[in-house]
Amino acid sequence: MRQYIISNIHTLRKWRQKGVVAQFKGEHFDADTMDFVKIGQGSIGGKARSLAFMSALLQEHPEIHEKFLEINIVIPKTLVISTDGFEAFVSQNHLEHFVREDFTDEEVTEGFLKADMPEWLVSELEAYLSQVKYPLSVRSSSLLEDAQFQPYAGLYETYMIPNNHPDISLRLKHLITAIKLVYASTYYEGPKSFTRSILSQAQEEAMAVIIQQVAGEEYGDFFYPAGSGVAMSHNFYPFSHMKPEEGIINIALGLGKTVMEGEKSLRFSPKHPNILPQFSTVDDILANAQRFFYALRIKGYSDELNFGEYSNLEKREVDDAKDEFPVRVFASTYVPEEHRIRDTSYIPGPKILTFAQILKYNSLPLPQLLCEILELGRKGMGCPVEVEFSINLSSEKNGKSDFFFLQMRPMVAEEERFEVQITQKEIEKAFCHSSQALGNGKNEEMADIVYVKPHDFKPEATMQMAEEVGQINAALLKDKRPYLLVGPGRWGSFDRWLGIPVKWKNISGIGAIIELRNEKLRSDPSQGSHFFQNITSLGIHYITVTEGSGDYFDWEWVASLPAVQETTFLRHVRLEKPMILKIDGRKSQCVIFH
Amino acid sequence: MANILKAIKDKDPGEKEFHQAVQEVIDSVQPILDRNPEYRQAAILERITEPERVIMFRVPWVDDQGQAHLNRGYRVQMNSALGPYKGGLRFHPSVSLSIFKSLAFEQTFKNALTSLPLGGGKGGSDFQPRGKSDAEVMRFCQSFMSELFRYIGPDIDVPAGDVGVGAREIGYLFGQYKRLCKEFSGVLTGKGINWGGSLVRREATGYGVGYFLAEVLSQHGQSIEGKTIAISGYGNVGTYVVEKINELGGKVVTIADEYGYVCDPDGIKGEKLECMADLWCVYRKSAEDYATQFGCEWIKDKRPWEVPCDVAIPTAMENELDLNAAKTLVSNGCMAVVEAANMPCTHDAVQYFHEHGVLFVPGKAANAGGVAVSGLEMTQNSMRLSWTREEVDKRLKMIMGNIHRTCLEAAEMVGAPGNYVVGANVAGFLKVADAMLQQGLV
Repeated sequence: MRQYIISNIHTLRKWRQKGVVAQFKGEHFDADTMDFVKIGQGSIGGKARSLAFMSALLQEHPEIHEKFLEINIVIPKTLVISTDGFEAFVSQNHLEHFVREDFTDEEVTEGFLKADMPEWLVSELEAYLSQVKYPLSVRSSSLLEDAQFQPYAGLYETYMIPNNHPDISLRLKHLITAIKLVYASTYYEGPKSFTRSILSQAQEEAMAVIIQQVAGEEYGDFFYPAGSGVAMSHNFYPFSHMKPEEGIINIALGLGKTVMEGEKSLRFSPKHPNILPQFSTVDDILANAQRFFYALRIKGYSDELNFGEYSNLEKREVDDAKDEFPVRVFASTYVPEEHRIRDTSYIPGPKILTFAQILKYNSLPLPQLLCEILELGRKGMGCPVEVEFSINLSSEKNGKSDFFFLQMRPMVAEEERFEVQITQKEIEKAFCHSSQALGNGKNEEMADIVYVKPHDFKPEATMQMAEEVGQINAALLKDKRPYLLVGPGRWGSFDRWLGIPVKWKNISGIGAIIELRNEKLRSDPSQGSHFFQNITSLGIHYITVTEGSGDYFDWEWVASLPAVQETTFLRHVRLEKPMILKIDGRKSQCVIFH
Repeated sequence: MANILKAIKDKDPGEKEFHQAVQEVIDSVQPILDRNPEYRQAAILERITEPERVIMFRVPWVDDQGQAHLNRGYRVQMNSALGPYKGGLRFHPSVSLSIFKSLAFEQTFKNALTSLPLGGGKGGSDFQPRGKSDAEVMRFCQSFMSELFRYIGPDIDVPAGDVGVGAREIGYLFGQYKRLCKEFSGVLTGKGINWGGSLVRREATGYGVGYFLAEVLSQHGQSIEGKTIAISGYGNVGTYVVEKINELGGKVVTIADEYGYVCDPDGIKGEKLECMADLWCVYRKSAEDYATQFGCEWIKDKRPWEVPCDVAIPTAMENELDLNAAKTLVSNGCMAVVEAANMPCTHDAVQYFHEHGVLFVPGKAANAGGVAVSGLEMTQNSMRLSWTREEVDKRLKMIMGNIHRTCLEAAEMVGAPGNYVVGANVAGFLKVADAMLQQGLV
């Protein structure tokens, strides 16, 4: 009975603490029940506020927890050092001059690392670490980020520390170093110039710091989550049955750096997890599957942690982790003898990350949960959102897996930045119009057009055309001139009869690509499926023009322009000023005019 | 001859791919037709260019959302003079009757060259497997086979995989055929190894190239033993070319990709070969990784043909070996060039090899190992046997020897002794034409 009452009180305390940002006080801190605490009275910054908002949102919607009983939906335990800490640190050490004068990032780092952390903050952090012994991430929560213009990969660094050393003084040293580095990043050239561009004048920025439990589990010498990713409410590259508003997910094994840095990860629609254009054939799977992932080393690290390029993270090969639980669950096996992928990791053969267990066999209802989360976010923020998450898998039968809600930001900023309105006037003056375009936004960087001369096109000469495209591409790439490539059929088709069989390296300098469907090659539009990975990760605009429908490309006009270069099958023309390409991703509509 | 081509064009004016395929064959067999009036009398050329049967059918299927879709299915049964129609199924949105006719026409001669009892055919659908779920692909395959099963069988027509049709699709197609026909037979090749597939399928093309090279050198009193060999690609073909050459005592010193090549003067052997096998086939890594791992020289933006070698084997892509490369090879004393890919040597390079006495073997002869093992899969199925790896390999060696002999005999017959290009172009046609002649006007 005693245990029962204690347990219930404990649960009640935990529940009451959810959605609440409590003030950290060393003597009252209970790491087990207090999920979200802050040190100081100042602002907690944009990112931390959004975490608090998410925490409250989850508290207000118990139904989502009830619907997914096999998953714990949580915010990682979080401590925020409010802007007081930064201000005290900067003023105590007289670091203000770094904002006004030009210093290299290295000089700023050196100056900040030499400076002393205020005593009161050190003692609070020591009290915190006396109870917290799991790996931590340390990152900024800037006031500037309130604007939500933060680029995807972030301007500021995130540092991860193992925080598992028996000597608390060493753990404290690591944590303080990480905080100083985050503080220093405020004065790096990138953020400074960004601040100038946003605020028109240099301004001192106060920085809060988020210290957060790293989502993950221990696997041998490493610590990482089974998967991490980003969910977005809007998909600008819908394929097959997908609809833009159904959203899109990018997921990868291990820590989120893989997705953030745009390395190979798996992109899927949460509504149609079975439809994976980049995984259509065995060759596609082998070419596109994630081969590397990031993990935090928690054993055998040096006392002077590496805060360099990967910030204590190690880039590991998936194959080296084939016996670790997440790979066992998420990997399939390649059977070379039959050139077949089997959706199990329990047979011999190279392991290939397909995430088939969750995408095909629903062993964890992650796609469904992500649909709900995106919807919750959309309702909560009143606009499309972008959510960062991580998952841990339970290795026990009927055990609960964890879904960590890491960050949520509105996509509104993106939409505003990229919002595209195509007017009737623009359609009238456009030399190209399409109702089947992928991507979103405006491109005003291209002044070059490379096109296959319509009257010279011969299906039997597509190999030669591919070579010619490669040659022109190399020259334009060298001059850093992105260009519009126009031609019939399926660009990148490996069957030379079906389109021009270019490889990515032949067209690597393109800004946009037009796939023409006409009498000579009237195949179904490929929508860039041969280059799907590159197109989506680089945000290339891919436009299909079906001649004879409402779509058009003005051949007469382009032919009237003087040629910069003319080959047997291609013509390269240059405009005096860059053309304007606009794609309204919501309507898949595109116009190009000059 | 021009009349025949004109008649074909007039009859089916839109079939440009087919016209081109016919034109190429007519050009290469012109001397034979001139010398053999019986072929003309029996209208061999007219008949050989007309499919014995073309089947076109609708393929309705339902996607995961319950929406119905319609595709068109094709099977071109081009020629069965030498055996049951044999040729792949291709699922790709841009296929057409013209493409299937041209592919089936070429397949007929390719199969004939192996000396196995195989006719020629090709088929498929304008279905796009890309972006479809497994369940959708399965429903499509089942619907496709629900019509095709009437026209195929282990002694009638034996399709295989091709673009868009891999092990998954072959499995679904076979399953539906078995259900509809109530029989487990070798109606498709490329099956899973534990349900009727053959061993050595993956290795077949590479091993076949090795065997063919051994035959070519032996014909000139030489052997692979001690020879230095340069190859380009390192995919399935390249890997098994290296394995077979090592086994036969040669030394392969290069591998390449589109970004450069690796030179390994000690030869790609043992652990290095194991690494190479996975490099592309599994991990899609650059050849440079091999250089990094084993401390070899990586020569950026160059082709491997500048490395002195006795034999060059282009295994990568079309037109990868041009006239300049040919000149370099000849000046370095290269004695033989064997194409393992499809048309990797440019026309002028081939001409240069011939002019300078380099033994040149075209891909259509050297890389027939794949078709040969498909034929062996059919044989094993009809015998209800699964041969060991050694047994299949032994028979593959025998078949490659036959192809070599057939090419030489055909070249000799048309007055171009030792010319493998002429031999390979003519031999397949001769085998089919002779069989048709003997079987009467059918």
